[in-house]
Amino acid sequence: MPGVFKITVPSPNFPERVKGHLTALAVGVREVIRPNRMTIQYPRERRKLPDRFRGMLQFDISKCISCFQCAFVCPANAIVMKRGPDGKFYPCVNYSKCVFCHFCADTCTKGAWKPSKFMDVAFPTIEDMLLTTEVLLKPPKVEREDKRTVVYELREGDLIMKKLPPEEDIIGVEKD
Amino acid sequence: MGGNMLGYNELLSMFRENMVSIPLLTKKVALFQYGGNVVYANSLVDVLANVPLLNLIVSAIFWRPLFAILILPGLTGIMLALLYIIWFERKLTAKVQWRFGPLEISRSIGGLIQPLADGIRYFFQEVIVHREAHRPHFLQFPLLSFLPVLLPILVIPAGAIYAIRTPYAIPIAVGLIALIPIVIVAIGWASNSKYAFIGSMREVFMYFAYEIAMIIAAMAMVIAYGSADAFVIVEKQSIVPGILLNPFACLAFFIATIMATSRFPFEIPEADQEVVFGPFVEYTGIIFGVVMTLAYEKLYLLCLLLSILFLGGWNGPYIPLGDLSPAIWLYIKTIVLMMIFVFFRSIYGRYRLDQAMRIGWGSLLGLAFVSLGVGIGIACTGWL
Amino acid sequence: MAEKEIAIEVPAVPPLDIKSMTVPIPPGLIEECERKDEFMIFVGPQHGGSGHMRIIVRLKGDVITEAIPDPGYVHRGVEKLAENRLYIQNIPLVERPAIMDSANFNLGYVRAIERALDIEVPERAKYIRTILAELCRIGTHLYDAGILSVFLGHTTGFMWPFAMREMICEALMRISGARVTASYIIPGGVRRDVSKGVLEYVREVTFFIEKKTKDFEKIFIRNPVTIARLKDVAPISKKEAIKYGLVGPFLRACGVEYDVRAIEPYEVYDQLSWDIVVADDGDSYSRFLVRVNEIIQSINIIRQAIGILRSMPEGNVISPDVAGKKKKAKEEGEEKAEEKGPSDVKGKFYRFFGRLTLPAGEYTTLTEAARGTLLYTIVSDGQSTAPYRLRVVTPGWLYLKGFMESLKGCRLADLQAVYGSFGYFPPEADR
Repeated sequence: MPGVFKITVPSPNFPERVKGHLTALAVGVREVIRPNRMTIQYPRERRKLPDRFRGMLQFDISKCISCFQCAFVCPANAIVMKRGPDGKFYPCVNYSKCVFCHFCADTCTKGAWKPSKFMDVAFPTIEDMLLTTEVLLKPPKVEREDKRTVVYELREGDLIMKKLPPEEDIIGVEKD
Repeated sequence: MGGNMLGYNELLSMFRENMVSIPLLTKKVALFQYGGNVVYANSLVDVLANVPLLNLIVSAIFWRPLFAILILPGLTGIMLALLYIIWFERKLTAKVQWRFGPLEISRSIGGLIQPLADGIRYFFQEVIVHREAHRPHFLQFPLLSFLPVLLPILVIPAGAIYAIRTPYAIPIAVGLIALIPIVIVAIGWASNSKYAFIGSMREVFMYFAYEIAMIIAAMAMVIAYGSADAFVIVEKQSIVPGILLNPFACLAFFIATIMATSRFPFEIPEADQEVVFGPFVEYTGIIFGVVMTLAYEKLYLLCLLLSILFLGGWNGPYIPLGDLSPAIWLYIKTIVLMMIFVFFRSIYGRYRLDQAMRIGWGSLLGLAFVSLGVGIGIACTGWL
Repeated sequence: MAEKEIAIEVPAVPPLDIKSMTVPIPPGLIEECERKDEFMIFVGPQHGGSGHMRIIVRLKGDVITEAIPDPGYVHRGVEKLAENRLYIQNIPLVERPAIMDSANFNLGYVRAIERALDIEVPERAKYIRTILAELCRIGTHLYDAGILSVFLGHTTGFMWPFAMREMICEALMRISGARVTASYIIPGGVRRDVSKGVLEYVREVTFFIEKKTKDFEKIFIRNPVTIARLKDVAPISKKEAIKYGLVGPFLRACGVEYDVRAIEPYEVYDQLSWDIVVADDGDSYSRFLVRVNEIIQSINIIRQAIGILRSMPEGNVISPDVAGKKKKAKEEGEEKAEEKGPSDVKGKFYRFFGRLTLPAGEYTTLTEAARGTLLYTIVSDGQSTAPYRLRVVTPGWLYLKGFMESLKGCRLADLQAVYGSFGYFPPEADR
């Protein structure tokens, strides 16, 4: 059974108020003299993403068995199955509906949906956001503008932003 | 055609008699000696002395009153100070808040021309006049607001650059600065909208809170120095600046300035979250750009007064620029004071209206009376 | 077929009088206001100081006499949408109302399903779920502190909590893969295991937040301007708090010692040592201080949980009940069923949960979300794979009445301070 912690609300009198003003000013001045900025200046810098980052999905058609399970489980109904040239059904993804929950990647028994590390994609029109299977098979067109990769590291309560050279493989598809 | 009309030559000679003296622009500069004669480099005004229309324009610009109002410490000085201080405020606040501030536009100089870019963008925005506004007043009052901003510059001198030299400079300046809240209230009234009305009311209440204390603090310094003439005041500060003589008056005037120019923690009439920017809620486009800078212009004026009364005005080592030297010293002191004022944005939230009024009529007024006592004490000892 | 142009008459002039706008004011209010010489303003959805909600305020001078809420701008029909989706597809749906608090909303829903199916969750998964819930609680309290600061005009107090919350979003990303809505808790456990490196990072995040909270305290919480704005503003007494049905930290700030994690403990809250934070005054400042101290308590819970998790063997985060192994073992006549479940749901997600059907009946859970008590009720008819009815009652909806009642007698500028101190979040209240 947890205990009870009663807080004491401070109600400062005049000398404590003056001290409060001076402490606040001192904190401000200290931050001006030694600023610790933590902005990642996108697009010149990119964050280093972990391996299980839920980005856009890459499709490996050699593993697909047309079981329809990814289309059944998608919470946003973003996967549409269309018949391919060999008669079997293959998925198309509508990225205007996808919520990047990766239920489909967890559902596929053969591992045909692979997560990747990028999410910042631009589409010219809304109709383009329905990626058909042919478009999914091609690798995406990448324009690199970043010069550095930033890793947030915490050591004993301080934030250190480590700046590394840019990553070579920005798509970062999970390998088998 | 009467005989009292000023002819062209009389106008020209009137301008040339009272010019600001700047080497190479209005005054001849001695270059070197050559065989007993001194060779001069001619100034711009002398070069253009015989060109028919240009000599009138050039000597009109360098005529002392027009130079004071238009260039320094007048309109151009205010505009440059504005461009700098808006950028500085954003950068300083960003430093405290763990971020960078404006950086994209001119990356190599740290985004310095961001306010200029913002101003140009305002020109491209549509000026919307809503249905219920009183259209002529709504559009004209922001432009009329430049009038009470430039009026005190008539009497505040900057070294040898002045428009009107009167022995009552300080009270006239304080009185003319008190005209600015009237324009703000009129702007809110012309908008004819509920939030503008609430904002105007708040501006009036805040004015009642700080004005008395500011006048008493200024008068304390005038009594201490024994004269209301700006030249005498600055001369008497060559030994000891006013801030050391009467720190209470400086503190009272400082806090009254924070209240007057809507700096945090007293940013009450233009609260963005409570009354949606107060009297200026309905403005868009370039007119919004004009009213947004009104508070900064008032800050500039009050910092001018602060530096004359407390920081020694235009005293400082001589820069070889002729009459511009004391003006530049005053300008630098004003800008440094403005930089201190904008620092409070990153530290404080804002007070409530009744709390601010309680402070204004309570602690601030008490402090102003104490400073009045100290000022009378200094005057009685006859030290100055 | 050629396209034909049809001209439509759209009145481009908005209405001038209040009667033609659809606001929920009782009839005769406008006339009463004019008779009593009061001012009626709308603190509307497009306002620097209100979320997505309109508050209709009656002002006498500068004092508020009555505040009528007009919620519903962000109503997306979560309860109706849930009736057309599978049980497992509702997990991203119920997470979306309170975006920073996603783990607590996720947890309440999943616990209702587990209660219906009588699933036992392995210990390691319970600890991971607790860590996730407490991280989201800290994130929400920091977000609310930021919103309170910006309503008071204190921009530094707005940027610093959001920067601290950035580290929590990074921690959520390293645990689950997404920054805000993790969708990580599933019936029977969690989706996959966390590695030792991630646990170390979460531990470092607690030290970071503790250190930066001290600076935040000096510049915002103990700032005399903040104290002057928040102290003795909109106080609520203990009796009134119970009468109006306040929940969560706002109830605890009025002196009532009620916390769902203590009354009906779930997950591992009864095995860790922590404290309920209670205050006596009931004004805005105590409401704010209660939440700041809850951040410290949550940091304690996370550190204890990480310490225990380090000593547990890895794997086994999904219940064997769900994996169907116990049933299979019973069919084959084995005495002792396999106790260890899978450590990653990849590849088996649809097989476990796709055709999930709950037995007929009503199942209710209470969860302590960051802002108060969260109630889930699932009504199932025993046959379909979608819920017959999902009832969600969020804490924002529960304390809205108390919030409006506490505004009576405040000044107009206090509206924003009280709004921020309550941390009212319209998407959560409107669902």
